[in-house]
Amino acid sequence: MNPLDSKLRSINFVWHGKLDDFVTSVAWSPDGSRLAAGSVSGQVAIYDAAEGRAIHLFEKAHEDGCDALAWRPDGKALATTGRDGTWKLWDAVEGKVLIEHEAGALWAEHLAWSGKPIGDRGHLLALGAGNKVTLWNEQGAPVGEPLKLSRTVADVAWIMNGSTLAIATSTEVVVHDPANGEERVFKSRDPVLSMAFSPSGKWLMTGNQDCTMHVWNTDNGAEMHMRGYAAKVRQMAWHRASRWLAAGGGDTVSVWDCSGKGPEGRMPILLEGHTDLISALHYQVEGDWLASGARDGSVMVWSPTQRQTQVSRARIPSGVTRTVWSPDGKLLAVTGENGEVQVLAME
Amino acid sequence: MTSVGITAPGDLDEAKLSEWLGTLLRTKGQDIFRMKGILAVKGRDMRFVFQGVHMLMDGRPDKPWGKDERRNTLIFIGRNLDRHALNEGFKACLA
Repeated sequence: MNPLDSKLRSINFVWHGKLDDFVTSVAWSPDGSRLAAGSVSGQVAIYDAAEGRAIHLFEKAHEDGCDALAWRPDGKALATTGRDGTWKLWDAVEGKVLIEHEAGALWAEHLAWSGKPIGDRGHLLALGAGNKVTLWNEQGAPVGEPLKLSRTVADVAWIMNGSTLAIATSTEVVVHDPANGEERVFKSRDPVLSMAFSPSGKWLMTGNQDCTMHVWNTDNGAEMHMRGYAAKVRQMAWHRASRWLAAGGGDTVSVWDCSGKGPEGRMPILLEGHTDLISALHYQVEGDWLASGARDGSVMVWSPTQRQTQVSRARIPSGVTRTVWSPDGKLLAVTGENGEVQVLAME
Repeated sequence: MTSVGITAPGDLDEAKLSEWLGTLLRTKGQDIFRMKGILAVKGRDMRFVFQGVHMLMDGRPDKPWGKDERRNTLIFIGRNLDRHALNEGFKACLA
């Protein structure tokens, strides 16, 4: 091995905070100036991104636990939801609840703001609770009728540049256009655990209960089934240009080339280095680096298409629950099973 | 919301433990928000650290017990937890 190959960039721990327990959700504000994080016991903190000072700490944002949080696109408000069956819109500057609603089920686990204003209604928040998805506007008022699914909602995401809603349940992925109510359904033979649409919208991947990954080409309906994963593929991350898809499902990250006809029949790039199950994956929004975290606390940064794929490595004290790049790609937030909220910068 | 904490000295039978936790997850997974514990498993030198959030449960070996007393501490946090059933279920796993 060429000695130059083993030279990794060093990582600096810029700051670290700590929530009271397992961090379930973490998100950078749209301008990257703040970081919000929520714990399984219900604590939510808003940190100053540069120094890690906790600007706000809500001890019990949700009784029994916070499951998801999402910044309103203007960065002035934060939506949170959890085990108490409510969702709340917080004024992120004042640190007060602006409005609170019943989520429509015993608890709610999925929250996402549209990437674009929808018609003349502004940005919409999609909330997944039980087998329903409800939509809300920027002031927190309900919009339209709840979308009823046949099973419990497993994931919610805005696709096609954030204008169209994708909802995963255990049996299908439903794509819903809120502008005209049109829907398209992708039925799955195997119970679905996770979903990832390419930014272009062409490819839909699901990670399934039986440790396989299913792929749809949404242009022509062609399907592919990928086997051979050691564990359930719960983490998937798309490169911004919609060609490379990184997947967990074991200790090794596999990166699939989805150009042209797609990944079937191709060998993935295998990123080896973790020695425990991958628990977090995220591609830079604007760059080409992939961050991965594993249950033993190891963190790695990769440049999957370079000859030397490993860029850097680090470790946090407990299992990694999330790795999320800041909007400008300069900082990496890593959160842990024991409440760690750590922000790293590459040299 | 309630929490049930269990502590007991002694070793656990690995097969019985696995079966008990598997059944718990299937039947009570929706009500158990959080599970944490350090367990002594018969035949294993290392502590077994258990971590569960919602329906996801995972255990892994940790530091060796060495000269420390082999003992178990387990906590369940959730709603509608049956304290008696959890204690009895745990006791049945003792080797």
